[in-house]
Amino acid sequence: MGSSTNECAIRVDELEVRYGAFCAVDRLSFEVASGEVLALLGPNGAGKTSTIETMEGYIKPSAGSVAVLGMEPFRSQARLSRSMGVMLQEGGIPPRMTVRAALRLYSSFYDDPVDAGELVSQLDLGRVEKTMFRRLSGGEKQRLLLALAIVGRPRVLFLDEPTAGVDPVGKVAIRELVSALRDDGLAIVISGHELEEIDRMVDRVLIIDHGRELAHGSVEELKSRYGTECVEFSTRASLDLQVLSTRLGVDVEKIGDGRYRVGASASPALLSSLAAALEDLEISSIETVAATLESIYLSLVGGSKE
Amino acid sequence: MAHPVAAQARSEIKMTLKQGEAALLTIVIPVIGLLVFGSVKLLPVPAGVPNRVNFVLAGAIAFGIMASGMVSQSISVAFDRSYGVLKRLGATPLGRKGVVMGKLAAVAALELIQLALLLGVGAALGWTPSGNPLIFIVGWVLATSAFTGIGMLLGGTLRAELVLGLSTLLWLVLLGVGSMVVPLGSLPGPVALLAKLLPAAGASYLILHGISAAGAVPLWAWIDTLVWAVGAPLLAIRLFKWS
Repeated sequence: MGSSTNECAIRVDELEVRYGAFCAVDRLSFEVASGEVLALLGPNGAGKTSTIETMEGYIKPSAGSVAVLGMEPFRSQARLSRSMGVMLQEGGIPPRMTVRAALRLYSSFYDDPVDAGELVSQLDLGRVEKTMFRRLSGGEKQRLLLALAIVGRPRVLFLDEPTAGVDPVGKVAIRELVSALRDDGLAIVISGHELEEIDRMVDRVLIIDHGRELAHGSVEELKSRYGTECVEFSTRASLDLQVLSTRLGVDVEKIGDGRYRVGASASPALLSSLAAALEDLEISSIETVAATLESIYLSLVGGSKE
Repeated sequence: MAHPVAAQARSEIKMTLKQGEAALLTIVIPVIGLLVFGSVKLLPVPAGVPNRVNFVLAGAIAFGIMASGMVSQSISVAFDRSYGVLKRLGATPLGRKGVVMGKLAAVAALELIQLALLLGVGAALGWTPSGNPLIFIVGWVLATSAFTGIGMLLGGTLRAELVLGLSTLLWLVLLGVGSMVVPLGSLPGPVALLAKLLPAAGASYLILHGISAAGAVPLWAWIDTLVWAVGAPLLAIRLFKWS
């Protein structure tokens, strides 16, 4: 697979995708370098699929430009496909095709495919090699689709919900594979809703809604820019949340049985007020919780809905 | 590396033969039809045709082309679309053209298997080859183009569930009025007239004249088959949706 890194593999510039009067993607710009993993996140209907399918060559941009490995995907899909791996959300494998037949067929499309046996063992598909696609579990399907996406030694890889329905062991295998592919110099774009898993796999995140960019940067940058840590505590005592919120001057919400979250960063003043407010109660734990990709996503996407 | 189109065609053929219903439709039913209608005196034989087997063999070949090109192909394409198979293959070096070429090559290969079986069974039943081989080849190619074009048109434009019902209905109608089992002369006048506008009767006539003495090929059979052979694929290319 490719070994050069830091070259711009994907360049999207002021991309617009329109379906009649509806604008699915609105002047979106970003780049993905070789050896980099970008997560494209957003709620359903945000424009993720239109953006990815434009990069894959399925959709012609209404305005702006897209270049993948220096090629215009819509015009050069056939040529680009030799260097591009695609994992579609809907699968794209005939239900009665076996794992072995699918790997054999897809291997035959490329000049120098990865050894199918190597992929089978890497993605733990050995037990189901003779099983038809429709009889595979959700996780096995995802692992096969990933195998088919990388069998041609691509230089760019588009993965739609790669870990959806995958068990924890399978998720680790996929995460390790994505990491190895990045180290091999692939430019990888991942979309999905499993934010905890995506947080562990990607270098940069682009969050979009209504076709527009909401936030863009490395996971750490987004956490420092948009993330606010909060305070969580546990008590068996019954609390009047309205009284407590008024006293602290911030929202306090119940997040579980006997567990509460204070919606503000853990400043010394807040901690002091909280300690004073709770001094007569038996507190079993109190801790500051760091921002996560999920909390950032929810705050940004939730805000955009209003 | 095998050529991607050859690999795709091989995969399509294997899938078709492994699917019980597809193999039944494209291979078993034409052969059983030939055995039954060729052996038992159930239906009339058109004037000028030397024997029953010659007529039934032509009908079985036309039926096989219709089953492979139209019914099996339309259902396969429609379900491949609904499962995202065509879309996924379009993003491989096989490409969209390769997907279509692979499917056409698979149809042609299946038809050749059918043809070999049917000619063998026909010979065993007493087929007396007396037609014009050139007419047979041209008729076979035109019929394949017409029915495969219709299959791609249906499969490439309609929902899979609808295609399943519609192609089966068309198959039954064309079987009845396509001069495959019942000669056109035995149909009521208006029905026979309508049948001459549909794709099956013209193709059956060309194939009949290709394998058996049956007088001159009527002009309408050439025109009918040619129009469908050119029109259906063109319409399919124009209207086909990949997903």
